[in-house]
Amino acid sequence: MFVEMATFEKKIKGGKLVKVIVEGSKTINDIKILGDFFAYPEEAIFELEKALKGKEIKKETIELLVRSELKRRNAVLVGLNEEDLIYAIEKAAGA
Amino acid sequence: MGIDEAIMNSVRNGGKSTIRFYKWKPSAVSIGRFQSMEEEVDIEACKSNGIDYVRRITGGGTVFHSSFGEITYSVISREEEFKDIMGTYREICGWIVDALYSLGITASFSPINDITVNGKKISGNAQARKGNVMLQHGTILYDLDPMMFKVLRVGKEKLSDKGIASPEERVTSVKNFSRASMDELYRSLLSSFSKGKEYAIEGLSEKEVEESKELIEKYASYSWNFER
Repeated sequence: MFVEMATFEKKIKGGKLVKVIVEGSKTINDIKILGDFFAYPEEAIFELEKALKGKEIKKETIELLVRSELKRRNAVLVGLNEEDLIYAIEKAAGA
Repeated sequence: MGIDEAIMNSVRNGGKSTIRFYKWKPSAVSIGRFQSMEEEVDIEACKSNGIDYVRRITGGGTVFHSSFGEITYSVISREEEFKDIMGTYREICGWIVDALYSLGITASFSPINDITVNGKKISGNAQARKGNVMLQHGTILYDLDPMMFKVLRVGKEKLSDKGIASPEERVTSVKNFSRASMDELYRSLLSSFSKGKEYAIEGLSEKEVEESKELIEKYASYSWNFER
């Protein structure tokens, strides 16, 4: 079975490294957000991954979900910001 | 890792803020909460060299904990005592900078979470905040252990904005700048970390010991360490 998977990795200047792995071509079948950044609470990242699974690969969808999930958990990111995260997910997903 | 979690639970339940200093036995690699063990660590090299490997609860990067080459600290406190994330890194890293200064080493806090001497990293630090409790832990490199370079995989992307070709160029140690012994480093850290504070030197409580033992299973498990 062919599994479509793509990766995007970026070292944020003055920040940390973020790497996103997305499996899927039209929808996000699976996603992993990796890196040496910090997030408070850490669960915000895991819950974001869950929220993105099954969603259509579209820039607007990804951006809306990232912003709403991080806001829902009052999440603080250190070493990257929301825009960096959105960009990395979009690039990995091919949106 | 289990000891830190047990102490966090104590503090959450009204226990005293705690500072720990410890060494690792055997040497080990720890990875950050969001890292992939297989990507960061050469597991086979660890197994052949008797090196442990574990995922931390804190974010941040991969760290090699040499049993002879470093001291690790943890500061565990109610979150209200360390409200601001970046301010906490600055404050606690400041204690390490002061400790190194007393050994004749001029170090600088390098935001976000590093301490450097002449641009090379001598200490890395990481913070977690859970249930109104703050944990910051980190390492102070006393002596470079070449095993570090055998078991860590450091990608080119990580080095890309530092303009260097290899991990060896990034790190330094106390021994490069001072004749202080490991014990002197420890005493200097103890003095700096406890400055201005009322403190008592104690061991773990019975409950903390019991809980730490129960947590061994979690931190040794495949599901935790290879979670992502």
